[in-house]
Amino acid sequence: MEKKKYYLTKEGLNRIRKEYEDLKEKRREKLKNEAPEVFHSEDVNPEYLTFRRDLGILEEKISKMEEVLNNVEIISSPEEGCKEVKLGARVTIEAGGQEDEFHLVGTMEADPNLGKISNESPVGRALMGRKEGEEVPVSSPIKTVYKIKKVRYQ
Amino acid sequence: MKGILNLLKKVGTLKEKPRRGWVIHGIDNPETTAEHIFHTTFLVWIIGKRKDIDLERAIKMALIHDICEVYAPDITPSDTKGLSEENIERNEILHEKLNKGYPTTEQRKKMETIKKNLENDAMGKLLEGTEGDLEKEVWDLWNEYEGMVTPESKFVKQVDRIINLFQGLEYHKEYENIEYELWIKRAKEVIDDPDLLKLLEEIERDISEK
Repeated sequence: MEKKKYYLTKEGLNRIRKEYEDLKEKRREKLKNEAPEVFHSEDVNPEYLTFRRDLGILEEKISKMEEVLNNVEIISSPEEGCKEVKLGARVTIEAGGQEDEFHLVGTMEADPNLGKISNESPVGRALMGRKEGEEVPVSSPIKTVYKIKKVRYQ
Repeated sequence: MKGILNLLKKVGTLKEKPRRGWVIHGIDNPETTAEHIFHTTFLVWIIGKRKDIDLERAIKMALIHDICEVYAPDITPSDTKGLSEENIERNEILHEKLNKGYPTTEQRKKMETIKKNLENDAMGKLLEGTEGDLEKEVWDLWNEYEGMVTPESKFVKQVDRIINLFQGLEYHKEYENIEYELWIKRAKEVIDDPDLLKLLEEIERDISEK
């Protein structure tokens, strides 16, 4: 089966790398200190269970980050003056009388509250491949038209 | 156990806290924060079990995702008295949201910063006196949820979005003046999880058939 590709901007890749290093540092810190005793009197020591659980979570997060970093595809900048919406584009749109700007990114990097819209969301999918000046309908059951006013890359 | 009992009491108050968004829309006897948490957590479980995620962590994340509302202010444009400068700014954004549709990305970024600070303070207050181990776990879950990097946090955030949409549409059946179009528009910008997109399609079919 083909491995899933993770599309990231350079900025997004740096953020994931930092997160990855932070997690490894946390794991190092955790392992540096002695693990709590397994048994406390005759019962299993709750501190030991917490230690194992925290370590397990860290290992899992690190492993997921490694999967991303091993299968990353950096979003490259298209040729200068490109007016087509591709991954990494900053798109000024007008919808329902309101103007806004979206940054089209891969799912790993999406954060809609910061304007980073995933290319796998219905709106992201509809905008991809369209050009400045085009009107893009996103419908069912309510039709919203996104007019692409400007496309830029930086 | 004293810390646990105190936390239990404080979190229990969410059973009596109506969600402000529905109050603004004039809903009688609206959903409380605790009810919203229940619905969100339930959906995280029934859809999350199909996914390659740490379901236990996702469920815990859903359980704690709004508990800071015990203390976090839930300010609306109509609450204008005694607000700090930053709350007034948030109010202006909300006011604009109600009058001109959803806030723009720029307004949303501002609102996020203000909201995060208020919610972090509220979470700190809520967890005061809680045993170190539990306190740490809640903070870790909360920071992960807010950080939106892991698959679990992205999934829970999107479930939160879709459950709000679902609840709004349920109210729309009784309150026809509720304009739900903007919620659907926003959901289509925010949701990219394949399973939740299928659920969104089903919700849309349900509206069309009404």
